[in-house]
Amino acid sequence: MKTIRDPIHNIVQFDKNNDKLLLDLIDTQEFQRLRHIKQLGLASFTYPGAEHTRFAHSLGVTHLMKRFIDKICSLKEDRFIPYIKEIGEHRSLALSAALLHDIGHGPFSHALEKTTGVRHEKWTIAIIQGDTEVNSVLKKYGINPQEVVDVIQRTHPSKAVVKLLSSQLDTDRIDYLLRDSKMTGAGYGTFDLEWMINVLTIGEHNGEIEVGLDIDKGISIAEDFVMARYYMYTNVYFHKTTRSAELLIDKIFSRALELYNEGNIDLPDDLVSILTRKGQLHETVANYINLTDNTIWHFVNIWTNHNDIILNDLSSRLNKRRFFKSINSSELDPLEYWKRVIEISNKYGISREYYFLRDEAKSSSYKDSYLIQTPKIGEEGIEREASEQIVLFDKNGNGTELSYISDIVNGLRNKKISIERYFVPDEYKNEIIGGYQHV
Amino acid sequence: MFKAAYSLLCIFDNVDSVYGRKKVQKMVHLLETSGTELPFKYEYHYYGPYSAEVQEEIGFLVQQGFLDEIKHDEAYEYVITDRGRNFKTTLEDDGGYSIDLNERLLNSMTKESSQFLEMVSTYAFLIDSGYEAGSAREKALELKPHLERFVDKAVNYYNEKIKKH
Repeated sequence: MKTIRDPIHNIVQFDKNNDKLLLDLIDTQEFQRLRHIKQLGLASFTYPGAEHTRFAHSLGVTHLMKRFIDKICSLKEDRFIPYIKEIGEHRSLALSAALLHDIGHGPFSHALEKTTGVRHEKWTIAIIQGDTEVNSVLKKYGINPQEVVDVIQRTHPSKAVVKLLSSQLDTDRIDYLLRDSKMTGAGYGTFDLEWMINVLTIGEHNGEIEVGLDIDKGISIAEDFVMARYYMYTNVYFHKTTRSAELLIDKIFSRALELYNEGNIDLPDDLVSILTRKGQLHETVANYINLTDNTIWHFVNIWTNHNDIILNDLSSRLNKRRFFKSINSSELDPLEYWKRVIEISNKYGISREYYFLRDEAKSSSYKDSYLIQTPKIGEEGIEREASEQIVLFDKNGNGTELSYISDIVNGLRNKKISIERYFVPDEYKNEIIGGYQHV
Repeated sequence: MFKAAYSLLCIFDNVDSVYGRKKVQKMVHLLETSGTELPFKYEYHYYGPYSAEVQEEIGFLVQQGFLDEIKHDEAYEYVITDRGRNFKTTLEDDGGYSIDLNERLLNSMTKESSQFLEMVSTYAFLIDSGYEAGSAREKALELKPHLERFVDKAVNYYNEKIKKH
């Protein structure tokens, strides 16, 4: 037995015989690379403890997937037999997908994605399907790489397996909430995991297979879970300092790319290879896996001395934690704000593109449509959006969506958690706000 | 700063209106797939590819009065407002904003049903997920058996209007 100590799950074990596939996947260079990709990117500027990696998270998701599968397969009533059969048949697939679901994440995911024009999901597909060690290991154990992609992309025919990895009550978000909460020290994301697993069940609701909770014993833990998510979004994931740091690295990449296109900067060789062979993901996957947080930090440090004044300034701001300051955009009319930005940027000769930013919540890695979608209560006749729900099942297998029986959750559904902000350098903030007030 | 908002305003400024959130979702997804530079991330959901980011940005546009959201019995209809056009023009004139929008595709999609676009969008998503053309068609049928009547037309539509050559 391979035993790993983990801050969230304590003991994580992989059987050297039964879990050989997983152990071999963990040992691939593509998976080992995740040791050098931070789970929360730049959040450690706000929460210094948030240094944990996608490597540890991926192990945690796999461990949880095992526990979820074992729990569902232990359910006794006859109505569970088809699900137990389905999940049992796909056990190795589900565990492989859990382990590899974040394999395509790069350093500072969003910023790098904008620079290369390729989203991390595409790299996940390229790594699993391409000429990689991961692909070889999967094939060696008779796992079809395309099926692993299907589970991660949510298009696999086994909806039970898909929902275990990606739904409102999935192993991915349960692990990241607990882990991010613990490692940031924020304390908001905690809930009783053991009780959640104890009351875990599965059934069909509105024609869809859903992983859910027992209605008699699971309402409180379901509420705790939704509240944990809500607080983690508002206090950690959408924290203004972290968001400001992320916007800054985004702009550093943009500027570096602009200078590269003009022939005025050296970029990491592997990044150059990706940029010059766009669309050839399978050919450049080896370059991609060489890019880690460390590579990028090395260059950001060098750029603090670059002769381009914008790149130099932005990189220095990041290094010295002199981030842009936030303005709550809900208090400002966008048209008037825009006019003020034009005026001030012209007055001081500074770039609007690099110094006056809007935080678009969509850039967050953590989206949660459950909490931000239009509430459905009383609107059953209106077209259904793509929505996901936490379902509670009674002993006959009848499902009820959580917000119908929880006032707390129903209240949250009406509450937006996306926070719109503008970010500007500290030295211009008062003029922006003051100027606006006089318009 | 307002790139996502601007790109959606351009889409709505090029059509009279769009009927249905699902249709908006699929139109934006297919424009993005065809090569129009849009910043929205899509995931596969019950009705095919869906972007919470698109819905959020539309919410912002509606909240700011740049877009009218008209509630009908069965769906929401979206129409750009004069204030929205004004904002879009301001971004273009003062901020140098522009977008290379595939207007032919956009206008063509407005004439199609949301269910048809759901099938095209699903097929496009599968191609992006590494499926070859033939197996993507089969997989699309597996995912959307109730839309079988659209599959061949959807594949042709993708090949003619969306696929990047």
